[in-house]
Amino acid sequence: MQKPMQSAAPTNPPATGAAPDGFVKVEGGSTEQITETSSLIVAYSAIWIILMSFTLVTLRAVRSLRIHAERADKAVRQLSHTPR
Amino acid sequence: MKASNWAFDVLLAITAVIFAYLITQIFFFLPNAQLSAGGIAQKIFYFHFPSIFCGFFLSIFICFAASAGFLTSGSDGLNSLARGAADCAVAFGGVMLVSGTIWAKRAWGIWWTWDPQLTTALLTVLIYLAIVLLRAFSPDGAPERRFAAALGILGAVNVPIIRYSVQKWGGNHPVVLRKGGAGLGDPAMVEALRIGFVAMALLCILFVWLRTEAYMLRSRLARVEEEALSCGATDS
Repeated sequence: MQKPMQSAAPTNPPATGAAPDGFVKVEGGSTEQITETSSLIVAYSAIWIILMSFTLVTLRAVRSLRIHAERADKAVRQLSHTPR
Repeated sequence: MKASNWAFDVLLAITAVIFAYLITQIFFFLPNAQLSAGGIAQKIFYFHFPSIFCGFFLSIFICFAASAGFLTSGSDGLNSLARGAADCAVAFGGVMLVSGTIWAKRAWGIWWTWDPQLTTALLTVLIYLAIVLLRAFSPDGAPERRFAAALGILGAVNVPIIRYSVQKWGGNHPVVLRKGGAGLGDPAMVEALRIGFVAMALLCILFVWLRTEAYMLRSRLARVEEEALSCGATDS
């Protein structure tokens, strides 16, 4: 079982206009909380969905463009050898 | 096999191994942070922070350099690179905003707040989104290319503003790693963060590489079509 770290950033309230030393609840924020584990799972799922979708879209685009470019090159070569 | 394909595959394999190692470290070996930082949810940090510095900022820097190069040289390759990097800036900006808001809900009790760093980061993502949309929905002419390159340079100006806004104007983002910050509290956490930086930088390079290749292929296709028309092919 992992032990929680206590030595990282303290949680003093921030001075006006300065960055806080630690994580401070925002005034007016909802008291209803999502659990730590669900935050982690949702965040990692969202990160990987964004990264994988981007990879997939890019790979598909590159693959289809490569095929198109090769076909077009071949067509031009044939055209340039065809007597007009 | 082409040399560039071989290099890409090697880079892809290295990136995959580093990501696998990073994820194992994060979920099985790193200690949890204090509850105020979100407890176990603080592990979002090892993707959130590197996606900003080695994904979002690196893409912006590449876009900036390529846009400046394109404006001075008019090179088609640099235009493709700037366009590819702008796409990646939006993707990594999305990772930054989504992971940040989920972590914020746990640590701050709120999904979004108009903190100076959040606001300037959102503004920058919107600038790069504007570049992507401009290039997607306008003709690929010289004026559009120049305008997009100018926007790419303008967007990069925001990076130091994002970086120093928290020191200048305060806000909710805590001082942890910056000068005077409390640090991460465990050497393993710092090590994981370093690995995260390397992994995200490699992923960013792979993404920029692929997007640039896609846009260069598109330019090549347009040139081949022109060539075909000049050879006597019908425009159908």
